[in-house]
Formats: sequence, structure tokens, C-alpha cells
Amino acid sequence: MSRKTIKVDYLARVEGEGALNVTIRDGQVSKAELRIFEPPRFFEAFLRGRDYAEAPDVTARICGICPVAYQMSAVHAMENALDIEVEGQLRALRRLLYCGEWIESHALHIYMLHAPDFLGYAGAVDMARDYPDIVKRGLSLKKAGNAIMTLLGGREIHPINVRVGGFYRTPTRKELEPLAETLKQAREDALATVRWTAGLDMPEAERDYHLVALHHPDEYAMNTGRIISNRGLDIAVADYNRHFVESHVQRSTALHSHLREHDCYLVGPLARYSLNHGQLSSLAREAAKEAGLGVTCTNPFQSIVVRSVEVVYACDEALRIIDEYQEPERPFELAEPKASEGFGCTEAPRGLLFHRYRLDENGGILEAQIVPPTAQNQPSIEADLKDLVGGWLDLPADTLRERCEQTIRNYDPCISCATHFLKLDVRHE
Amino acid sequence: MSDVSGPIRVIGIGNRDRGDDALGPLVVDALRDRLPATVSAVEHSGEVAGLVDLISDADAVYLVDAAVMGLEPGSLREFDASTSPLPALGGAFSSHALGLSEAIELARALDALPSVCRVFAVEATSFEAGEGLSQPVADTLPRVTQAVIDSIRQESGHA
Repeated sequence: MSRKTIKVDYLARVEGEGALNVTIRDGQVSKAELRIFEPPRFFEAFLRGRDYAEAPDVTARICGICPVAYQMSAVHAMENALDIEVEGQLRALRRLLYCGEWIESHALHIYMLHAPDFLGYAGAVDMARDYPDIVKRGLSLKKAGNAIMTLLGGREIHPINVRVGGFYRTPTRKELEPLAETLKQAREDALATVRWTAGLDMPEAERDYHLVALHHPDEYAMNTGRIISNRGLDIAVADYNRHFVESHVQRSTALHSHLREHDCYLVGPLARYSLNHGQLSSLAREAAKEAGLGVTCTNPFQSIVVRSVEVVYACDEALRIIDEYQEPERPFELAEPKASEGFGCTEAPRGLLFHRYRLDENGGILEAQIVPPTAQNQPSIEADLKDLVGGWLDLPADTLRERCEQTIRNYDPCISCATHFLKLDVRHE
Repeated sequence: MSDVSGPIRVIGIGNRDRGDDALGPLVVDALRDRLPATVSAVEHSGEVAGLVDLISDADAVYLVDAAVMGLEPGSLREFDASTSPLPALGGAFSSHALGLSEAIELARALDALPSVCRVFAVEATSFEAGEGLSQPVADTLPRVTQAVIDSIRQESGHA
């Protein structure tokens, strides 16, 4: 009996701290374990006793890369609890803000974290020496996303302008004008990104995923909709806990999520694209077609192309929103606190992000539940490795290890989010 | 004195709500009214792409950050990053380990690193959320502020 172990003790180019163990026995992968060893962050506990209005700002602190996602899921859950609807231009502005985060987060992952895998570089710095213009394009694209976040969110990282019911302040049409110019260039850069990523050397890998994403009848879902899957799931956000369950596994400080009846599932760009392809803008659909993508995509390595298509869409959608923008009469809808429970689910760049809150009669938070996308994808990452590594055993050891890391990076995992980790003390003693 | 005629920028990196990580932003506060109009001082989170931008469109940059270098708490170290990368120091350097050194190296790889690039790193003791500066780092704050001013004066002929 031969036994071989692939160990990656510290995963680079992912957000947070994790490691990987793959055990191969007699030419078969017997075990693939993603170990997440960042301690849990206890954000759900921090929130207990806080006022409902604080949730968007507190949860934005969970992640420096996707704070808008946390804010959006939090405000939707609170508005669901307090029976208020945010419609019209306020809803559109939220979508615009989310476009900013998708552009910013996807551009970071495509260019700085994921592309080096395909081109054989240790990281973006090495890649930049040989491909300076490409890296500059990535930085410029990311900057366009940041520009939206800064204008609407009040600042680039951990935006502070979002509140339950809307915004503290809404922009004027004039303030949005220069953003439109930036986004027109960004849309060109995004189209170039699709063409460029489509030309990367793509490992063959088709997976039979259970794809799960939000679906909205009128738009490529970001903030609202029902949770659907390619295997017939179609539920209201409020029913999330009836169908999904979180469990603890010893090797990981992040909870694993499963569908009660179907085990592991996939959230994120591949799921969104495959379930909602028809709602992309025609420009994004055209770019996808030219890149050789079908109407669904289940090769996890092609997620870099799908992210690029989503960046085209986000630029296109942001421009549409800016073009149609009329300054709203007031920046937010008022909410009256009451004893209640609320659910919110939005599409973070990495996938579905679920929030649930239970409030007392004064709006104090009694209970909070946050299920980030990386926790949901963790079993799927392990399943990919288990399924795919067997076909790569002839590769040299270093190449095989790199391929395993690349397989994890396909997910753009945010381990910090998954564990709600907070580095309380990094002193070396 | 280096040949500096374009924008000169002090960048205080950090998070005001995370213990000693507030050092960079607090140095920016302390420099207010102590710099000539030709020198700007800005606060930054340390996010790579934004930092590359700030670094690469300046002629001289002075970066201030809390760091973990294995020194006595509050110790100040100055690095000239214009010609060589920041020392790895066992993998733990800045509180924005990926951000700061990667941003500098990315700017260098893109041939956009200014001819003056100085890093002022202060050994931190705690990055705990909601805490203020630890005493040793608070004690170093005036010294690092003065060191930045002296360095600008010496290298750029300003301040």
C-alpha cells in the first residue's frame, strides 16, 4: 500500500489563515481537508445587546474586502424584521454600491491573487515585472470599484454611510458624473480582462455541483430575491435555516454548511452565472460568449473568467444606475423598533451571505446569525480536491501542490470572514 | 538632498480603532500644521492597490506604520525602501504585512517607486479592537513625528 501526503502548511494569496492536507492511498485520494486555524471572531456574540441600527457598521468590520456585503445583508435583515421596504432610487443606490464592491473585490482576486497561478508566478509582484501593463489595468479596475465605494460608502474600506432604511446621505447627480467617466474606462478594462482570462491555460475539470444563488425575476440578483438551485431548491430567504445547516468539524474553526438533504453545495460566481445567466446585460453575455463560456459553467478554474464577466456586468449596471439616477426626496426610510425576527441574504462577491437577527421591543439585538460564503463553500472546496487531485497524481510534487492551492483559490476564499476572525494580539514574545 | 520637485506625501497606515495600529493615522494628525503646503499627509488603511496609487504618483513618500519586528515595544526603526525591499524579519513586519511591503514591491516592479521611499516602523504591543495606543507606542509618537519632519527636511529640502 502506498501512501502520499500533500501538505500546504500556510495558504498564500487567500484572505486569512488556512492550510491543506490531502492524503492519497493507492492512487486514490482518501482524504482532502482544508484546515482553517484562525480562531473564531465571535461577531455574532458582539452583536447581542447592541442596537439594531449598529448592525451594519459592526458587521462591516468583519471583512476589509467585502464590507458592503455585510452591510447589505444586515440592513435587509433589519428591514425585514421592522417591516420596511426600501425601493426606488435608494434601492438603486444600494445596488450601485454593491457593484463597486464586486468590481473592487473581483479585480483584486483576478489580477493579484488568482492570475499568478495560471501564469506560473509566486505572486502579483513577480507577475508585475513581466506583465506591468496587465497589472496596471487590474489596479485601475480595482480603483474604479473603490471610487464607487468611497463616494457612496463615505470611504473606501469599512464604509460608514449605509444605514437601516437607506443612507445617511445620498449623492447628487453632479457628484455621480465623474464616476460615470471612470466606469466607462473600467468597462473597457473589464472587457479586456474577459478576453485576457479566457486565453489563460485552463485545467480541464468539470464538477457536478449543486449550485445555489439568489434569483430575482427582474435583475441579476445582488440584494434581494429567492434562494434557488440547479436541483430544484426555490425558497424564501426566511426559510434558509429549514434547508441549510451549519456544523462544526474539528479541523476548522469555521463552521461547515450543508444542505440538509443534499450535503455540500456551491455559492459564488459560478452559481450566480449558471443560474442567472439570462439576466446579465447583453454586453456581459456577449463577452462571455466570446470567451467561450456557455450559459452555465462548472469548471472551477474558469471562475476567473466568470468573475471577469461579472465585472463587465457590474460596470455596465453601475453606469445604467448612474444614468437613470434621480436624487431621492429623503436619504432613508424611518424604522420603528419592535420585537421581531428578520432575515437577509445578499450576494457577496464570494457568494451567498445570510444574516438573521432577533430583536427586542426596543430594537436591541437578542440573537444574531451570520453565515458567510466561505463557510458554505468549505465542504465544496474539499470535494473539489478529493475529486480532482486523483487526476493530477502524475504531476511533479511541486506542481501538484501548486495545483491544489490553485483549486482552493478558485473560490477566492475569505477565511477571515468564515471564522469571523479578529487578530486580538499579534505580538511575538 | 535628492532631486525632489513633485508631490511629497506622508502616508500614515493603520486603523484608529485597533490599538497600536492607530499609530500611522495619529502621526498624520500630529503633522497637521507642521508641514509646508508642498507636503501632504494622508491616512490609509494599507489596502494594496490604493497604497500603490498613493505611492506611485508621488516623488517622495514617507510611510508610517505599527510593526511587529521582535524589538522592545515602542522602538522606532527607519528603513530606506527606495533601493531594496523591506527586511522580512521572520515574515512578520508591518501590521499590514501584505499591504505595505507588497505595495512597495509592486510599485517597484511597475517602475513607479519614487526616488525617496522611507518607512518608519514602530514596534507595537497590541492591535486589540477598541483599545487606544499602548503606553510605549504613545511615548514614541512625538519622536516618530519629528523623525518624519527631519527626514523630509533633509531629503527634500522642505519643512
